[in-house]
This record gives sequence, C-alpha cells and structure tokens, in this order.
Amino acid sequence: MSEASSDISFKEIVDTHKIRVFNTAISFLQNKEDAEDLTQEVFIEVYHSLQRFKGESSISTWIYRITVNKSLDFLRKKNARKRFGFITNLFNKESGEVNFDSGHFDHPGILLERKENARMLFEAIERLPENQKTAFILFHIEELSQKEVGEVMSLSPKAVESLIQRAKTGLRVKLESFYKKRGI
Amino acid sequence: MERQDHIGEIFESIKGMQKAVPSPFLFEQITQRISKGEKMQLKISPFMKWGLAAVVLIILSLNVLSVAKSNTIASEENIVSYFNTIKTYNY
Repeated sequence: MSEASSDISFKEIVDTHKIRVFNTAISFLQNKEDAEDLTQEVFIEVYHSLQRFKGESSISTWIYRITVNKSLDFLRKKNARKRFGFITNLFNKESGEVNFDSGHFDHPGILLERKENARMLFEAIERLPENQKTAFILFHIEELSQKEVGEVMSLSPKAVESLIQRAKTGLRVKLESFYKKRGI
Repeated sequence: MERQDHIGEIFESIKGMQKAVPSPFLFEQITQRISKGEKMQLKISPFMKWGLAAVVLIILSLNVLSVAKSNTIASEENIVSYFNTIKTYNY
C-alpha cells in the first residue's frame, strides 16, 4: 500500500470511528480532556497495529476492544495514584452507610433537564466492577447488541446478559443508598 | 414507590442522549504524535544502544576489578601485619 493511500485509509478509519471511541472513553473516564487524550492513544495504537490486524473480528469490534482496554488501564492507574494520596473516610462511622456524594461529571450529550439524574447514574457506574461497567456502558450507552458486546468482551451473549443484569442490580443498590442518605 | 420512580427516571436520563463530538483537530493531533514517536525511535539508533551497553559494561567491569584488587591488597596487608605481630611476640 502506498503512503498516500495508507494515509487516506487511516484517515477514513479515524473519521468513521472517532465518535464511537470518544463517547466510549467519556463514559469510562468521565472527563472530557482525558477522553480526548485516550481517543488519540487508541488511534495511535490502531495505526501501529493495522498491519497485524487479521480481520478475525470486524474493525469496529477491534477498535472498541482497544478503547475498552485502554480505558480500563487508565482507570486502574488513576485508582493506584489515588491510593497513594490522601484517602477520605468513605463510611459514616455511626451508621456504616456509604457516603455517596452526587458526582460532578456532566456528559456533554445529556439534555439539561436530565443532567442531575445522569450525574448520579454516572457516579454509580464509576463504582461498578470492571466487567459489569463495560457491559453496561457498551449495551446501554453505546447501544451495541448483546452479541456485539460479547464480541468485544470475548463473552457469550448469555454471559453478557447476566453481566448487564448484575450491573443494573448493583446500580439500583447504589442509588438506593444515595436516596437513603438524603432522607428521601 | 416514589423512590423507585426516581431511580427509574435516573436510568431514563441516558436515553436519547446525543453523541459528544471530539476535537475537530483530532486527526492532526494523532498524526503529530505518531511522527513525534517515530522521530524519537530514530534518535536512539541500534548502534547507539549497543555502544551505550558496552560503555556500561566496561565501567562495571573496572569497578569490580578495582574492588577485587583492593580486597586482595587488604588481605595481603593483614597477613603481613599478622606475621609482624607474631615476630614481635616471639621476641
């Protein structure tokens, strides 16, 4: 492939997939600047790995997989840094309830009147285990089918369905505790 | 019941949300980072890497030899002073 034509096809790949990658990154990282950075890193990896891509999955599945892996790596490093820093006591010593403050992440795509609710939901999503978080984000936010989510996560559709159910249950529990704290 | 309705509304908040759009300069930013990365790899050529490794090895070897030599001299001096001590006591 000549340099000019390979540059064109890489640009096509970026143009076709940039919105998906960016939105997935935003849902995981919950920060627009970090998501911009991660989006660049995803496509740099795509550029370097394109020759090795064997076409065993669709290109969009492959790019989603890179995005998810890089997002989870980013979050792990961020959590490791937090552990070395100052850790605030998350639990109310008297009642043992989780101290759950409403998050500060405003997704740029959410309507104004829904922002407060969306903030709470994203705060709860942030606290899910990695596999449940991934399944929930890809299915409910990225609107992939269970089959497509399974291809990204290398799981069967049944396993994905189970993860999504557990994620929803987990989110309900977290949101319930938030309301309990507010006395609603 | 009211709480369950609220939680239901929270789940509904992401329905119909618009897709966020990345920077219009994304492609340029990506290509800049790619070419920066390639320039960094060219700056540190294989010849330089091997040369650096050789220099480090030589310095390490010299240090080891010097430590070994100073240990030998110290042990020789100990032996000499030991015999001198014996001579002194024998007199």
